[in-house]
Order: sequence, then structure tokens, then C-alpha cells
Amino acid sequence: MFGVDTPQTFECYRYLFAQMNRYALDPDVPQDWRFGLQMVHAKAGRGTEAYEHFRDQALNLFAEFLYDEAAPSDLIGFNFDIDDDSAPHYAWPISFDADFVEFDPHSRRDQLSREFFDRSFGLFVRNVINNVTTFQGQVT
Amino acid sequence: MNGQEEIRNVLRSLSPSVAHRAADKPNVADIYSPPHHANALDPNRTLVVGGRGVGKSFWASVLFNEEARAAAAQAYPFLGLENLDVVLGFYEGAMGSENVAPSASTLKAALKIADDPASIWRSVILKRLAPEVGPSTFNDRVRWIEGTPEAFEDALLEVDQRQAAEGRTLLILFDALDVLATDWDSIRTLTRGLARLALELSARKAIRLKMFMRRDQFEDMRRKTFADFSKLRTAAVELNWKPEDLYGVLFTRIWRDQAARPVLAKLGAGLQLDISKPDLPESVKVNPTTQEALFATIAGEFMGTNKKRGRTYTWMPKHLADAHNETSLRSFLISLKEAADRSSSSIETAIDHVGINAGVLKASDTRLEELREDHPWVDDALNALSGLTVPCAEGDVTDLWREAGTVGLIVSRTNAERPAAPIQLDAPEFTAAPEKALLEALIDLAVIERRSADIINVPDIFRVAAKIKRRGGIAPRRER
Repeated sequence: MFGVDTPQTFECYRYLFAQMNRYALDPDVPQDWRFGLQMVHAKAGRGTEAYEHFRDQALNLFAEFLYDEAAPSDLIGFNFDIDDDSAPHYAWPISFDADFVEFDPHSRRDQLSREFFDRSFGLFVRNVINNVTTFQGQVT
Repeated sequence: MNGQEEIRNVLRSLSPSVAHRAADKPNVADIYSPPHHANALDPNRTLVVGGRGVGKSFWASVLFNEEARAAAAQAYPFLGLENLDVVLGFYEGAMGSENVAPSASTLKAALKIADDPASIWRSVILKRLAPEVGPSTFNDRVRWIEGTPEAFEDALLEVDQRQAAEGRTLLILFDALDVLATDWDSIRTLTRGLARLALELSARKAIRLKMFMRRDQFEDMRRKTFADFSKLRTAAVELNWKPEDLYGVLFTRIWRDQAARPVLAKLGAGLQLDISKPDLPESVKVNPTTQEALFATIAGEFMGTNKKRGRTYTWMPKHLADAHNETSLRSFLISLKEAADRSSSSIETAIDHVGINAGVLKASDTRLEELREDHPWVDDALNALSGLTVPCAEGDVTDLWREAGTVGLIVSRTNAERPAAPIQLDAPEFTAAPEKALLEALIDLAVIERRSADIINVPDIFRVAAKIKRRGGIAPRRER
């Protein structure tokens, strides 16, 4: 679930989360689909402060609609600490990069170089690869 | 039997509950030396600051004990630890007139007669520098030093020159400064006196002071901005444990066990660990990727059957960390021991996520217990928050305290003999809203973390034992 850090993003996701909330209540789902969710912080400012601001708002949505109410000592339920990097609300940042505003790889081949896209998309791509590997491991 | 039993036995034998005193003899086999702890042992770095359970008193005892110091000198060859003569200037439990270190009662009596608190500490070190010089009882010596400062200076210079000529440094250690007295005013006064003396001695060639200080005391001293203290402050050394240091300790303990070492080498077959070496291979000490792979073989890779649950290697230190993102070695060892005690040969690994989970709960109980010992008021503050859900607005917390009359309760329990109220309650800026003082105090202690926009959070290590819940909207469902 991608989003820019604006009030609109979280207002709109509220509708979606409220809807998803109804399915999270179903006790007979064999595999919890909620584990498949992941927030992505698009056009992120740099630095922990920017990341935290987005994640805190994402946590609000997850806590209200999708996280289980858990006893204080329950660390296993579907509920994550605010800074838990395996949590779905713990958004993966894609940094804002003015160069992508004028993205034109046809005329500028160097824009397809690893060095060029790694700055913004490196972390995101690595996270996707890690999770896909994890998921594949689960299937086999 | 796949050997995991041997690993589990090592974990079960961990004894993390014993709080160490500087005068206790350290177990040389327990010494683990992260490279960045070198500054904490460096005789030229006067002030070492760290939270509870990070090993301040342990390192003090290593410096004090000859055998342990020799071991540390090998681990940190550039500090010149082999050329030290070490004496304890203060430690928890000091008593009697035989010791150089005075007791808290002696200090209390001395405070009443000393014009300058630094004279009290001059009297302490004089006992080591020149035992025959000056009167023999403590208070008489304090008066004598204040009356004839040049006699003290002569003794100091003579010892300094002698030490320097012999190529040896005299190091005087001061540990457990939070128990110098039973009230904060006296503790502050004595600490300032000690800071002043440390600065004076920094000009000497071969005499050094070293102070180990708990972080909340350091913050208090910093806030009061004493001139004597601010110079030391800028050169203060932080003592803490990074996750790879914690795992380095774990693997070292396993490595030093004759039965467990070959098992670990076999589990990490791809790493080519040479079991003939007495010392843990460097890569296992410092490389997180290597450590993670190895830890997965004894604890499982993930925190549960669902692989999105987080990795055991990162999950553990994270859930044991306080709001400053620091994990104490003690918490880490407690949770490993508990995990091993809870696990049996019915599982394939030495410990698993169920055990680790129980371990974190146990560590949380212990951590809160320690906090209560140091700051009895924390109990009243957290009791009022039982049932709260976090993250939440700051106002939710202060409202609960106001409704419960928590500040009044804490103040009513305070007495002169016990620094039982948070220091912040005395600050003028909080007079109108004393609950805010309480909040600031808990933020200082890393029990509460302030997030963006007036939102606060309580890290798991305190949250669990304080019976505070994480926010979650979906009612518990039946087991599937």
C-alpha cells in the first residue's frame, strides 16, 4: 500500500481499512491475509523524523482497524510495536528524488543504471526481494 | 541428540541476576571485551556514563582486580592497563576505617564539617597517597586538609613524581555514585566535589580519577549545569551494548564451554570455525550476518511459524530495548536463560520463539523491579497507567495521573532519608502542571518515548510488566 505523507493519503486509506476490518474478524480464514500487507512511504523526505511521521500515522490505521487487541504480555498476536521493522505499518521509504520527476530513460540511458535508481529505490527493492524469498520459502 | 542440549545447558547456566559490586572479584571467564568499550576502561577518560545493568560496576571490578586487569590488558593492549595501580575510592558497600573508600555514613558526617566538598575526597585519596600524613580519623583529616592545603599538595606531588618515575599510573575508581548519600542534594554536592578534584588531578602525570555514573544522575548533574561538572561532561564516555556485542557475549560463553564449542562449530559448518582456538573467531564477534546465521541454528530463524513475524536475531534486542534504544546485557542474559529453562529436548533447537517470548516477559519483570529499587516513585506512576493502551496522547497519561492523584501520593511518600520523588518535581517550570514533571522524569529514564505530535509510547521492556497494552482494535478471536 503506497502513499505520500499527506492527510489525504490517510483519510482515503481509512475507508479501505474500515472495509478490511470486517474480514479480519473472520475466524475461519486459514492463513491470515493481514500478514501480506505492507505500507510503502512514497516520495519520502530523508531522515528518521520523516519516516517516523509516516509510520506513526500508518500505525494509527492499523491499530484502529487491523491489529488485534492483545493482553499486555501477548507479544505473539497480530499487533506490533511502533518501531518493529517487521510490522506492516513500518513503512518502507522510497526517497523523493527530483531526478525522477524528469525521468526519461529513452534519451538518458544512465537513468537506468543501478547507481541512479538505488538512491531512492534500493531499500525498497531489497525489502521486496527479502519478502518474496520469505514467501517462497513458506510455500515450499 | 543433535548437540543442542549442550548449547541449552550453557544458556541455563548463565547467571545474570547477580548485580555486581566494584569490590567483588570478577569471574575472568565472564569478561567480554567489545572494541568500543576501550574508552570506558581508558585511565585517561574520567567519566563513564551508562544505564543500569550495562556493566559499570563490572568494569570497575575488572580494573580493580589484578588478575582480571591482566586479562583486560590483553584485550585492550593500547590502554596501558598493565602499568596501573588501582584503588577503590568509593563503591557500594564500602565500610570501616581500614578501607580507602569511605562509607555513606562517613561521607554524611564529613559533609557537615567540610567547607569545600572536594576536601572530603582529598581526604579519601590522601589515605592512599600518604597513609601516615595528617590525622587518622576521617573528619579530622578533612579539617586538617582545609587548614593546611599545602601539606596535601606536597604529598600529592611526591606520589605523582614517584609513580611517574616508576612508569606506573595510580588510578582511583569511584563507582555507584548514586549511593554516596540517601538524598539528592548531598549526592550532588559530593559529586561536584569529586568532579572538581578530578579536574585538578588531570594536570598530574601519573594520578587519575575515574568515575562510573548512572545515566539519570548524569542527566541531573547536566541539567544543573555546574561549572566543575560541565568540563568533565563533554569528555564523558558512554557505556552501552550494541546488538552484535550482546551476541558476541552469548557466543563467547558457548565457545568457552568444552562440550558446547564443537557443537557450535558444527552448526556453523559453513563458517569454518577453528575449535582449537581458545578465543571466539573474530567474525562471530563483530559480523551481524554471521551472528544471525549462527543464532538461527540455535533459536530458529523466525519468531513463530509465520515468517512475517520477525527474525529472532533482531527481535530479541529490539524487544528488550528501552526508549533510548539501549538493551542492557543483564536483560539479554536473563531472557536467554529463561528461554533455555522453558525449552526441552522436544524442540529441535536449543531455544525457540516460545521460550524467547517468555524470556522477554521475564526480563521485563526484572527490569521494572530494578527501576523500582532505584526510583521507588516509578511504581506509583506506572500503577496508575495499568490498562492504558499505547501509543497514546501525552494528555491521556497526565489525565490518568491527575485523576488518581499520583503526584500527591508520590510527594506524600517522600521523606528526607529517601530520594523517592523525581527530581523534576522541584523544577519551577512544572509547578502548575506537576504531572508533566512526572512525564519528563519517565522520558529521562527511557521508560517513555516521546513520538511525533504529542504522542508517547512505552517500549515493551517496561510496557509488559507495567500491564500497559498496545493499541489494537480487533477483539481477541478464538483459537484457530
